[in-house]
Amino acid sequence: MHIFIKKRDFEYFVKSYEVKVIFAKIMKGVSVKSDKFTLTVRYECFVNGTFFGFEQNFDFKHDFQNPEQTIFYSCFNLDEQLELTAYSANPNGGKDIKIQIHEELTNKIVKTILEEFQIEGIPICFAFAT
Amino acid sequence: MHIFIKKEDFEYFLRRKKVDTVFVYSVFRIMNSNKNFTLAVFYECLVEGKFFTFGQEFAFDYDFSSENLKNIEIKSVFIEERLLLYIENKMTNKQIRDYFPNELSSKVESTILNFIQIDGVRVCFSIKRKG
Repeated sequence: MHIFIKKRDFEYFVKSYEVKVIFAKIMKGVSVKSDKFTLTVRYECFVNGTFFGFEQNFDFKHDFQNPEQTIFYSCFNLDEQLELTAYSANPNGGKDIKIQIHEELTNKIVKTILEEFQIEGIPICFAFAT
Repeated sequence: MHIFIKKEDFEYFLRRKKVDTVFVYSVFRIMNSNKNFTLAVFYECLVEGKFFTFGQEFAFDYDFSSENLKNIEIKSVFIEERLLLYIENKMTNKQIRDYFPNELSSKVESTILNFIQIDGVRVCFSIKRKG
Protein backbone atom coordinates (compact mmCIF):
# COMPACT_ATOMS: atom_id res chain seq x y z
CA MET A 1 0.00 0.00 0.00
CA HIS A 2 1.27 3.47 -0.93
CA ILE A 3 0.09 6.63 0.81
CA PHE A 4 0.84 9.90 -0.98
CA ILE A 5 1.00 13.16 0.89
CA LYS A 6 2.32 16.63 0.12
CA LYS A 7 6.05 17.32 0.15
CA ARG A 8 5.90 19.51 3.24
CA ASP A 9 3.90 16.85 5.13
CA PHE A 10 6.33 14.17 3.98
CA GLU A 11 9.26 16.16 5.44
CA TYR A 12 7.43 16.44 8.76
CA PHE A 13 6.54 12.75 8.69
CA VAL A 14 10.13 11.67 7.94
CA LYS A 15 11.37 13.60 10.97
CA SER A 16 8.62 12.56 13.40
CA TYR A 17 8.90 8.84 12.53
CA GLU A 18 12.71 8.90 12.51
CA VAL A 19 12.94 7.51 8.97
CA LYS A 20 16.42 6.24 8.09
CA VAL A 21 16.29 5.95 4.27
CA ILE A 22 14.35 7.62 1.45
CA PHE A 23 13.99 6.03 -1.99
CA ALA A 24 13.84 8.14 -5.15
CA LYS A 25 12.29 6.35 -8.14
CA ILE A 26 11.70 7.48 -11.69
CA MET A 27 8.11 6.37 -12.27
CA LYS A 28 7.50 7.56 -15.80
CA GLY A 29 8.82 9.85 -18.49
CA VAL A 30 6.75 11.82 -20.94
CA SER A 31 8.16 13.85 -23.81
CA VAL A 32 5.98 16.92 -23.84
CA LYS A 33 7.54 18.64 -26.85
CA SER A 34 10.18 17.60 -29.37
CA ASP A 35 12.91 19.28 -27.32
CA LYS A 36 11.71 18.59 -23.78
CA PHE A 37 10.59 15.72 -21.55
CA THR A 38 9.16 15.41 -18.04
CA LEU A 39 10.15 12.75 -15.52
CA THR A 40 7.80 11.93 -12.66
CA VAL A 41 9.84 11.04 -9.58
CA ARG A 42 8.45 9.39 -6.47
CA TYR A 43 10.21 9.94 -3.12
CA GLU A 44 9.18 7.27 -0.62
CA CYS A 45 10.01 5.86 2.76
CA PHE A 46 8.89 2.55 4.23
CA VAL A 47 7.34 2.62 7.70
CA ASN A 48 5.62 -0.30 9.38
CA GLY A 49 4.80 -2.13 6.17
CA THR A 50 3.49 0.89 4.26
CA PHE A 51 5.16 3.20 1.74
CA PHE A 52 4.66 6.92 2.37
CA GLY A 53 5.71 9.41 -0.28
CA PHE A 54 5.18 12.28 -2.64
CA GLU A 55 5.63 12.72 -6.39
CA GLN A 56 7.31 15.54 -8.26
CA ASN A 57 7.81 16.34 -11.94
CA PHE A 58 11.16 17.45 -13.42
CA ASP A 59 11.65 18.91 -16.89
CA PHE A 60 14.78 18.25 -19.00
CA LYS A 61 15.80 19.17 -22.51
CA HIS A 62 16.43 16.56 -25.22
CA ASP A 63 15.64 16.23 -28.93
CA PHE A 64 13.04 13.60 -29.84
CA GLN A 65 11.88 12.69 -33.30
CA ASN A 66 8.60 11.17 -32.17
CA PRO A 67 7.92 12.94 -28.86
CA GLU A 68 4.34 11.88 -28.21
CA GLN A 69 5.05 8.17 -28.10
CA THR A 70 8.28 7.92 -26.17
CA ILE A 71 8.60 5.72 -23.07
CA PHE A 72 11.48 5.92 -20.59
CA TYR A 73 13.18 3.07 -18.74
CA SER A 74 15.86 3.25 -16.07
CA CYS A 75 18.21 0.59 -14.71
CA PHE A 76 21.60 0.27 -13.00
CA ASN A 77 24.54 -1.05 -14.98
CA LEU A 78 27.26 -3.25 -13.48
CA ASP A 79 29.30 -0.17 -12.53
CA GLU A 80 26.49 1.00 -10.22
CA GLN A 81 25.62 3.81 -12.62
CA LEU A 82 22.06 4.70 -13.57
CA GLU A 83 21.27 4.17 -17.25
CA LEU A 84 18.33 5.91 -18.80
CA THR A 85 16.91 4.74 -22.11
CA ALA A 86 13.92 5.92 -24.11
CA TYR A 87 11.93 3.98 -26.70
CA SER A 88 9.97 5.85 -29.32
CA ALA A 89 7.20 4.29 -31.40
CA ASN A 90 8.32 3.64 -34.97
CA PRO A 91 6.22 5.83 -37.32
CA ASN A 92 6.58 3.14 -40.03
CA GLY A 93 5.40 0.38 -37.70
CA GLY A 94 7.59 -2.47 -36.49
CA LYS A 95 10.10 -2.35 -33.66
CA ASP A 96 10.27 0.69 -31.35
CA ILE A 97 13.27 2.96 -31.86
CA LYS A 98 15.77 2.95 -29.01
CA ILE A 99 17.06 6.36 -27.90
CA GLN A 100 20.12 6.26 -25.67
CA ILE A 101 20.16 9.15 -23.22
CA HIS A 102 23.71 10.53 -23.01
CA GLU A 103 25.72 9.92 -19.85
CA GLU A 104 26.02 13.65 -19.29
CA LEU A 105 22.24 14.08 -19.26
CA THR A 106 21.74 10.99 -17.08
CA ASN A 107 24.22 12.41 -14.55
CA LYS A 108 22.37 15.72 -14.56
CA ILE A 109 19.05 13.92 -13.95
CA VAL A 110 20.47 11.92 -11.04
CA LYS A 111 22.04 15.03 -9.49
CA THR A 112 18.84 17.07 -9.88
CA ILE A 113 16.67 14.38 -8.32
CA LEU A 114 19.01 13.70 -5.39
CA GLU A 115 19.60 17.38 -4.66
CA GLU A 116 15.91 18.31 -4.79
CA PHE A 117 15.11 16.66 -1.51
CA GLN A 118 17.51 17.07 1.37
CA ILE A 119 16.84 16.16 4.97
CA GLU A 120 19.88 16.27 7.18
CA GLY A 121 21.40 12.88 7.93
CA ILE A 122 18.96 10.80 5.86
CA PRO A 123 20.48 9.08 2.81
CA ILE A 124 18.46 9.14 -0.40
CA CYS A 125 18.84 5.99 -2.51
CA PHE A 126 18.24 6.18 -6.21
CA ALA A 127 15.93 3.29 -7.05
CA PHE A 128 13.99 2.19 -10.08
CA ALA A 129 10.50 0.77 -10.22
CA THR A 130 9.61 -2.45 -12.04
CA MET B 1 -4.28 -3.88 9.94
CA HIS B 2 -6.99 -1.23 10.46
CA ILE B 3 -8.86 -0.79 13.74
CA PHE B 4 -11.98 1.37 13.64
CA ILE B 5 -12.87 3.47 16.67
CA LYS B 6 -15.12 6.47 17.44
CA LYS B 7 -13.89 10.03 16.90
CA GLU B 8 -13.77 10.83 20.62
CA ASP B 9 -11.78 7.66 21.27
CA PHE B 10 -9.47 8.49 18.35
CA GLU B 11 -8.70 11.92 19.87
CA TYR B 12 -8.13 10.39 23.30
CA PHE B 13 -5.87 7.81 21.67
CA LEU B 14 -3.82 10.49 19.86
CA ARG B 15 -3.08 12.25 23.14
CA ARG B 16 -2.34 9.10 25.14
CA LYS B 17 -0.05 7.59 22.49
CA LYS B 18 1.53 10.97 21.58
CA VAL B 19 0.86 10.51 17.85
CA ASP B 20 2.50 13.17 15.61
CA THR B 21 0.71 12.68 12.30
CA VAL B 22 -2.86 11.92 11.21
CA PHE B 23 -3.53 10.85 7.61
CA VAL B 24 -6.79 11.76 5.96
CA TYR B 25 -8.10 10.17 2.79
CA SER B 26 -11.43 9.90 1.06
CA VAL B 27 -12.68 6.51 -0.06
CA PHE B 28 -16.23 6.54 -1.33
CA ARG B 29 -17.34 9.34 -3.60
CA ILE B 30 -21.09 9.17 -4.03
CA MET B 31 -22.86 11.37 -6.55
CA ASN B 32 -26.19 11.92 -4.73
CA SER B 33 -27.81 13.77 -7.59
CA ASN B 34 -26.83 16.07 -10.44
CA LYS B 35 -26.11 18.79 -7.92
CA ASN B 36 -23.98 17.36 -5.13
CA PHE B 37 -21.72 14.55 -3.96
CA THR B 38 -20.63 12.98 -0.68
CA LEU B 39 -17.11 12.05 0.29
CA ALA B 40 -16.60 9.34 2.91
CA VAL B 41 -13.40 10.27 4.70
CA PHE B 42 -11.18 8.18 6.96
CA TYR B 43 -8.88 9.69 9.56
CA GLU B 44 -5.99 7.38 10.46
CA CYS B 45 -2.94 7.31 12.66
CA LEU B 46 -0.16 4.75 12.61
CA VAL B 47 0.82 3.24 15.95
CA GLU B 48 3.12 0.25 16.32
CA GLY B 49 2.36 -0.98 12.79
CA LYS B 50 -1.42 -0.68 13.11
CA PHE B 51 -3.72 1.95 11.65
CA PHE B 52 -6.36 3.31 14.03
CA THR B 53 -9.24 4.89 12.14
CA PHE B 54 -12.57 6.66 12.28
CA GLY B 55 -14.85 7.66 9.40
CA GLN B 56 -16.88 10.75 8.57
CA GLU B 57 -19.00 11.86 5.60
CA PHE B 58 -18.95 15.31 4.00
CA ALA B 59 -21.31 16.67 1.30
CA PHE B 60 -20.34 19.23 -1.36
CA ASP B 61 -22.16 20.95 -4.23
CA TYR B 62 -21.14 20.36 -7.84
CA ASP B 63 -23.08 20.41 -11.09
CA PHE B 64 -22.94 16.94 -12.72
CA SER B 65 -25.85 17.57 -15.06
CA SER B 66 -23.74 17.01 -18.18
CA GLU B 67 -22.33 13.65 -16.98
CA ASN B 68 -23.58 10.08 -17.02
CA LEU B 69 -23.49 9.42 -13.26
CA LYS B 70 -23.27 5.64 -13.67
CA ASN B 71 -19.83 5.56 -15.23
CA ILE B 72 -17.90 8.26 -13.42
CA GLU B 73 -16.05 8.62 -10.15
CA ILE B 74 -14.28 11.47 -8.42
CA LYS B 75 -10.50 11.16 -8.09
CA SER B 76 -7.88 13.34 -6.44
CA VAL B 77 -4.28 14.19 -7.16
CA PHE B 78 -1.59 16.51 -5.78
CA ILE B 79 -0.04 18.93 -8.25
CA GLU B 80 2.53 21.39 -6.92
CA GLU B 81 1.37 20.88 -3.33
CA ARG B 82 -2.29 21.52 -4.15
CA LEU B 83 -5.13 19.02 -3.98
CA LEU B 84 -7.07 18.84 -7.23
CA LEU B 85 -10.24 16.85 -7.90
CA TYR B 86 -11.35 15.50 -11.26
CA ILE B 87 -13.85 13.10 -12.77
CA GLU B 88 -12.69 9.80 -14.21
CA ASN B 89 -14.54 7.35 -16.44
CA LYS B 90 -14.69 4.06 -14.48
CA MET B 91 -14.58 1.94 -17.63
CA THR B 92 -11.59 3.57 -19.32
CA ASN B 93 -9.80 5.06 -16.26
CA LYS B 94 -9.42 8.27 -18.23
CA GLN B 95 -9.91 11.78 -16.91
CA ILE B 96 -13.03 13.54 -18.13
CA ARG B 97 -12.86 17.28 -18.68
CA ASP B 98 -10.74 19.64 -16.64
CA TYR B 99 -10.07 19.66 -12.90
CA PHE B 100 -12.80 20.90 -10.56
CA PRO B 101 -12.60 24.65 -9.86
CA ASN B 102 -9.79 25.52 -7.45
CA GLU B 103 -12.26 26.97 -4.96
CA LEU B 104 -14.09 23.63 -4.66
CA SER B 105 -10.89 21.59 -4.28
CA SER B 106 -9.64 24.03 -1.63
CA LYS B 107 -12.99 23.89 0.17
CA VAL B 108 -12.92 20.08 0.21
CA GLU B 109 -9.37 20.07 1.57
CA SER B 110 -9.92 22.70 4.25
CA THR B 111 -13.28 21.25 5.39
CA ILE B 112 -11.74 17.81 5.85
CA LEU B 113 -8.52 19.04 7.47
CA ASN B 114 -10.31 21.41 9.85
CA PHE B 115 -12.69 18.71 11.08
CA ILE B 116 -10.10 17.39 13.50
CA GLN B 117 -7.96 19.76 15.53
CA ILE B 118 -5.57 18.50 18.14
CA ASP B 119 -2.71 20.63 19.40
CA GLY B 120 0.63 19.72 17.85
CA VAL B 121 -0.69 16.93 15.61
CA ARG B 122 -0.10 17.28 11.88
CA VAL B 123 -3.15 16.40 9.80
CA CYS B 124 -2.07 15.42 6.25
CA PHE B 125 -4.43 15.08 3.33
CA SER B 126 -3.42 11.83 1.64
CA ILE B 127 -4.18 9.69 -1.39
CA LYS B 128 -4.00 5.89 -1.23
CA ARG B 129 -2.97 3.63 -4.07
CA LYS B 130 -2.18 -0.06 -4.34
CA GLY B 131 1.12 -1.27 -5.71
